Order: sequence, then C-alpha cells, then structure tokens
Amino acid sequence: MTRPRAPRVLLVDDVEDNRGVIRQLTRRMGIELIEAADGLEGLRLARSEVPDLILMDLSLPGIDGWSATAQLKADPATAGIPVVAVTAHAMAGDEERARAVGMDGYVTKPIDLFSFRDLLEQMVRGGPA
Amino acid sequence: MDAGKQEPTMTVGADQFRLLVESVSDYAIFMLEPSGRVATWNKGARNLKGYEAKEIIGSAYERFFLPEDAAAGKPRRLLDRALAEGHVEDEGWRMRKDGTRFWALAVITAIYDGDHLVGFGKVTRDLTERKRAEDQRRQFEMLVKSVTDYAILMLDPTGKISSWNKGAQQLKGYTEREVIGQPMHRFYTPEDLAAHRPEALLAIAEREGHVEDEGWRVRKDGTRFWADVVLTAVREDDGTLVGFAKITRDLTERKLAEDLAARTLQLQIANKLKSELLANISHELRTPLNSIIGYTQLVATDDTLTLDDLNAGNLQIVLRNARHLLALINEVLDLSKIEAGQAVIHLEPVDPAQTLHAVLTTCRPQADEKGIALSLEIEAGVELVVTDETKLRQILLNLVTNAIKFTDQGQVDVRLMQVGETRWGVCVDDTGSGIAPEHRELVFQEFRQVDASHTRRQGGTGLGLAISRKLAGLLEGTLTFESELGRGSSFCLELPRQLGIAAEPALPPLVAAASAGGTNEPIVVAIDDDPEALRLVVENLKGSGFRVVTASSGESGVHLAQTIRPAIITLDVMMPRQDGWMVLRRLKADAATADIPVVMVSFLENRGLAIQLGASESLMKPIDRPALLATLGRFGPKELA
Repeated sequence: MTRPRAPRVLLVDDVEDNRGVIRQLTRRMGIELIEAADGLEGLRLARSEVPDLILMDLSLPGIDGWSATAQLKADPATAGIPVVAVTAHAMAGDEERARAVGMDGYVTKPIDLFSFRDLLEQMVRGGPA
Repeated sequence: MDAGKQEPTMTVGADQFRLLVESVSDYAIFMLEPSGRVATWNKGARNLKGYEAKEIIGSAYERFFLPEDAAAGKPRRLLDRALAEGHVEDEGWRMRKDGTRFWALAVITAIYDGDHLVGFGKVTRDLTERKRAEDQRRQFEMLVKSVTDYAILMLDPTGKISSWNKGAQQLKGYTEREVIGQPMHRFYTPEDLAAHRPEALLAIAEREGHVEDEGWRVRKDGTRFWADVVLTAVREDDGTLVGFAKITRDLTERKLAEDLAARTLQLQIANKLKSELLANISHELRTPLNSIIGYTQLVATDDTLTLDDLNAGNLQIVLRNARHLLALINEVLDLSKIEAGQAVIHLEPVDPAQTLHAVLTTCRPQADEKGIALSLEIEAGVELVVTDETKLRQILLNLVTNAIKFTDQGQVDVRLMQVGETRWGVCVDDTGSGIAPEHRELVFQEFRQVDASHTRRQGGTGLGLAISRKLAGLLEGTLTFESELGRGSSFCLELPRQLGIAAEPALPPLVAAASAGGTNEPIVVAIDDDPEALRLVVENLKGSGFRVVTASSGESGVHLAQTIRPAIITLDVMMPRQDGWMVLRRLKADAATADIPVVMVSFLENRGLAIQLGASESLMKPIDRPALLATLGRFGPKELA
C-alpha cells in the first residue's frame, strides 16, 4: 500500500516576498509547492506537473494571470485544475473579470494567513485537516 | 416789344414755344385757369395722367387728386398758396385716369399779365420709382435699426461708427448718441487693444472684403460677452471704400455651454485617470502590506520559536497597525468609488433580521472584550426587503462597531423596526460618550472623529460614518442620529422596502400624507441625493404655499414626477447613477412630465447649459429662501405668482 502523496500546489507570482510567505505556510502544512515567477513558466509547469491547485497572481510579466488561466481552462489536460487568484487587484470589476476567465476562487492581498490556510486545506484536502 | 433789338437766333415765337411744351413727354406741363380748370395739355400730361387733351380741357383739376385729398380741399389750398407765395411745391399721391396712383412732384406757379391773374402753370413729374426706392431704403433702415438680436452697425473707412441699431444698443449698452462718430475700439478688451486687434480686423476686411471673428467684447457696464462678428467692406461701384458693415451676435450662452461641455469632458477624463490612479495605488499599497502581514503572522505562529510576552505583543502591534493601514486603504477606495458614482448596486431580496444576526455575531467578541451588553430587538413585519446586502451589512457593521468603540460601559441595543408602509429602519443605541451639539456637524465628515484621542485609543479611520451615510444615500435611505453628551447616541438607518423604480410599490410617505391632506397646495418635487439639501428645500418652503415632496435619487424623482405631476421640480445636478442632466433629459422626453418647469440646483454656475437642455432656471447651492421663492413664483402656478 502506497502512502497518499502530498498535495501539490503551483504558485505563480513574480514577487519573491509573496512567494516566500506562501512557501513557508505550505511547508508547515505539508503541502508541496511548485513555484513559477511568470505566466509562461506557470503554464509550462501546470502542464508538466498537473498540480492539485494553482494559486495565480494576476499582474505578471509576459502572459498575465487572466490569460494564463484562460489558456489552462481551454486545455482539456489542465481544465480540471482549480485556479485561485491571489492578487492585489481589489477594485470593482477585478473579481468579475477573473471569474469570467474561469477562475475558481479570488483572494485579495494582503492575505490573512489563518483564513488562507483554511482555504488551502479546503481546496487540496477537501476540508480542514 | 422791339424785335429789332433781339438776336434773331434767340427769337422763339409763341407757337414754337407751345410746340416745344406740348412735345415734352417726361413732364406734365399745362395751364390752369384761375378757377382751377385745365386750360392746356401736353404730351407728358397725357402720358402721365392718361387723359387726351380734348377730354380734360375745361375740367376742374381736382380730378387728379385722390378723392380724400379732394374732399379735404387740397387742390384749392395749393392754388391759394401759389397765389399767396407766387408758387408752391407739393409731393404726394395723384390719380391717373384709370384710377391707378403715382407719386407726383408738382410745382404750381401763379401767372400774371401785369396785375391780372391769367392762371397757373403746372409742372408735374412722376417720382413713383424714386419714392419706392426711398421707401425701401427707409424700411430697410428701420428694419436694421429694429433688429434686436444682432448688433448691426456701419463704420466709416477709418473705423468710426456711423450707424447704430437697437440690437447694438441692447448688446453693448450704448445709445446711438453716445457712440456715433466714436471708434469701435471701446468694445474691445484691453488685451485685444494691446494686440491691435480692431486695426487688424479692419485691415483684413479692407484687403479681403470680409472677415469673421469670435472673442470676448466689453459692454458699456464693463461686463464681457462672447461675440461672433462679421465685418464686411462696403464699396461704391468704382471701388471707393464707403466704410464697413459690422454684424455682431452674442454667443455667450453657447460659448459657456461649450466651455462647460469641455470642462465636463476634462472632468470625465480626470475622473477616469483618478480611478486608474486609485486602482494602481491600491495595488501598489497592498503588495508590501501582503509581506508585512504575511511574514509577521508567520513569525507569530511559528511553534518552533519561543517568544516572550513582550515580543509576542510587539508582533501583535505590527499586525494591528498593518490591518489599520489596510482598513484605511479600503475605506478611502470605497469613498472615492461612491463619490465618483462608480459604486454598483446589486439588488437582491434580503432578510434584515438575518443580516443583523450576522453583524452582531461578528461584533460580539469586541463587545465581550469591553464588557458591554449587546442586544437585538426585532419588530415583526420586516421580513423581506429588496436592497444591496453587502452595502447594508457594511453600514450596519460600521454602526455597531462604532457604538461599541465609543461605549466604555453599559450597553449597545440594536432595534429593527417598520417605518410607515414603505420603509424600514435600524437604530443602534449606545450608552457611550455621546456627541456634543457643537460637534454634530463633524460626525459625517471624512477623517473627523469628535474626540481625536479616540483615534489613538480606539483605532478607526474616521471614514466609517461618512461612508455609511453615502452608502445609505445610494440605497435611497437616510442615516441620522440623536445624541446627548455623556449619555449616549442613537444612530438610525432608514431604507425603502423596495429599492429601484420598477419595484416601488407605493408613493413615499410624504406624498401619501400630502394626498390625505386634500388641500390644493401646489406640489414641488425636490430631487437631491443629499438629505441635508432636501431638508433645506423643505425648511425654506415652509409656509410658502408650496408642499414639498422629496426624492433622494434621479430614478425615484422621475417616478414621482410621472406619478404626481407636480407644479414644479427642483433638481440637483451631482447625483450618483443618474445625474441631474440625465434626469432632466428623461423628464423633458416624457410627455407626462415635459411641461413641468424644472429648476436646476447646483454648486456650479451652469445656467446656460441648463436652459439649453430645457430647464426653466438654475440656482446655485446653497439655496437661499428669497431666490427659491422668487423662482418658484416665476415658474410655478399663476395664482401664487
């Protein structure tokens, strides 16, 4: 009997400090984190690694988070992976645009570590541990 | 007469002379007997009057006159004057044989043989054509002089004014006497004079025949108007410059409307830039905050670290301040969104009791911490309303947290109640510090907390109540308060049960009351999103004979106007969603309301635009009673005027 593998989360964010917070949080939670610093890299890793969840910043160099998500949702190989926007875009209409390209969740920065932990648990383990 | 002394070539016999006279065809030349009967006749007379010699000789010359002139004794009078003065000249209408008229210049000369009156010589010319041309010229001159919408004037070749019409007097304020002979320079602004604009315009008109110009000009009283000017050189057939015709039109209103439109466009662009700027600022501020809050929380929750109380407390201070900064950012953005009219309202059925329960659950830890009792009282009857739940929750959350924040001991009571048939309300009563009467004005102002020390002690951005009140306005409701210093405050939110025109089931209470009163007082519908402004209209019209019905949004205002057809409407310009201009257009486009006079009420001077868009008048805020009454009297029902 094989031990169930640790959940894997792909984080796409161009700011190292932002990735660092989530890196430390997921380590504590026993979640494997894959990191990408731009949209193109994010798309490549999403296709090769097929993670359980993608955390997607929206303002990214090159391909931004909206179009990266739209591409993932258009590809049957990746369409099933839930994508949650983690973004500092908090103005009216930002969330609607994100939902429109197929995002499954929307979290506004600054993230609150406690509620973000609950969200992650729910998304990758189907509920709080 | 001695014929031998005369030059033979100069000798003209009487017969020859008679032949000469008879052959003249352009002048009627004939003799009258002393009695006034026609004695001789020439070709010109026949051409002019239409009679043959044989049918007219021997007739009284009265028959050449109009019947009314003949009846008035004019023929005799002329002869008498010719007798008295030797000869007489007369200009006037005469009649031909066929009854048609012509304008005659007649000279009658008494002819004597020694002392003996032989008769009268009469020479008559037909000046009908000249008379007609002269009449036309005079009529044209009168026409030009009487034109009031255009200033029409003539300048001599040096630019001095030689004629002046009524329009010029009205437009520029000078009488004819004051300006004739003066140069046109006095109409120009000092800037234009310094730039030699009048000379330049005259030079162009002289060179090219014609020049058009637009610009500010100065009236006699020093005020300025925006002039549209056409200057045309007037020349004789041989090319000699007679002068210039100058036609000026007052386009001030159009200019102001154009300026306002340009300014509005600029404002719209500025507003768009502001929104973009805010979005960017928001994004840029959140990014570092994300790290501050995130890493602090990582440290604070790291089980592998042992933090003493002091350091654990320090981390909490960092977190609290970071969250305060975040709250500030959020609220500033909220406020600017509401003020820019960008706040979107999502209507949905809401159970207010449920929302209140949720709000109290959120606030309870805060109350417990301070040892304050928190109670909820729900009056039956407010089961389901239509409003924007998120905004409602934001207001309620703010009112309850505020009450707890400013109460050190005692309780906070939240009451849900019905207000009339169509509205409902929530009051939040506290036993806190209260608000002194002199501080009432500050309560809803941005970044103002009555007691500044509270900001440090209690936190809070000072924006909560300002936002709450604006949100209440968006939901077509009001937020008011009662307070006594040292005893507590009571903040009450009042909202319509059904927000939105389509859902509006009945008239607001004020109208219902008005209808029940059964009086015949004319109704004023006042439309303004600011409750204070509405209150001002109501106060100002107390005892004026008008009854005021208020609407707190353009939508409900249009609805009200269509339903009750008021005598007059006052309309605020700056309103969220539908601004005053849009409401004005809707009112004027609907046959049911098109005839109702609308008075625009605005902080900006935009009367020109208002009138152009169909408003009857425009008043500046803040409204004062005499101006309001005068305007309502002018456009309201006649019996009150």
